[in-house]
Amino acid sequence: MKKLLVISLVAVVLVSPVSALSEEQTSEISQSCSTIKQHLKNLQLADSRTRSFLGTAYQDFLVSYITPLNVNLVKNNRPSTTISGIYSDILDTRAKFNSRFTTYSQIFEQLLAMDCQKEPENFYAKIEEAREARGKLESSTKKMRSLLGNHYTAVQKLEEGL
Amino acid sequence: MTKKSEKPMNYNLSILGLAAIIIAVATTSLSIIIYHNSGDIYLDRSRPGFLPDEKEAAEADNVKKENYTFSENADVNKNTMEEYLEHYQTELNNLDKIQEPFSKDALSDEALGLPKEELKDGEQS
Repeated sequence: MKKLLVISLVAVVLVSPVSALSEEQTSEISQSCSTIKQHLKNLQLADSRTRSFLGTAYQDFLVSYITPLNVNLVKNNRPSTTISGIYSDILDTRAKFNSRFTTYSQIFEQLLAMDCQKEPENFYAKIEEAREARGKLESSTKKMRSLLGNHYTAVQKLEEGL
Repeated sequence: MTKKSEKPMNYNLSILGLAAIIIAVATTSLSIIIYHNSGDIYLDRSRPGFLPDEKEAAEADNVKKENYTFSENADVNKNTMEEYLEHYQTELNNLDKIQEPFSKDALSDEALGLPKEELKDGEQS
């Protein structure tokens, strides 16, 4: 019986949420709930536009430039390990970007569905989760930009060797 | 036709109608679940509230679109590569018009209008 009591106490302590928010922040979230939600909805819309733009741009790069060049080089017995290496990195990064955006959007939808007036602490915890997901998404876009730049440099070197 | 034979026919028709409705509801529900879980819903800009507005359409018109595709059968020489790089650079410049996409600042406490967390003693911002 004693053991059961101790285990239950430990479980209650572990499970009960530790508030990371100050009273001021909790009160601010509850009071400004509708304003915060509106800001988040606007952000969701802006993110959708950005995603659409980037997705189209990445697709254009692959279809009009990178893939045909790689195929051409292989066909003409001029394979370049640098260019083909960058190509496979780009494909991987694009796939990661797509999946990270989906994850981020799912978290964001959950965030928008929460009642920040009644559960400000859980709401803030979800914001933190969304921040982390957004950070990963941002790093994918930066990596993608870097790889596209590397491809340009590699093709420049190829041109110099012609 | 006798009344006896009409009854089974009406009964079968009702069963058929009910089965058709159940199948339609099941397949529609399944497709919505797949649509949601695959993430395609987040790419769908035909949703209410996500349609491009006039300002966005005007901005899209201002972006110089490269009507260029490198051919898989093209000759790889200095001229073709120069042309390739020129068009590629224009596309890169278009891509760079979006500065810091998905920056974390948009979800910061300041952006959401929340008071900053008080730092503990010894912590630096």
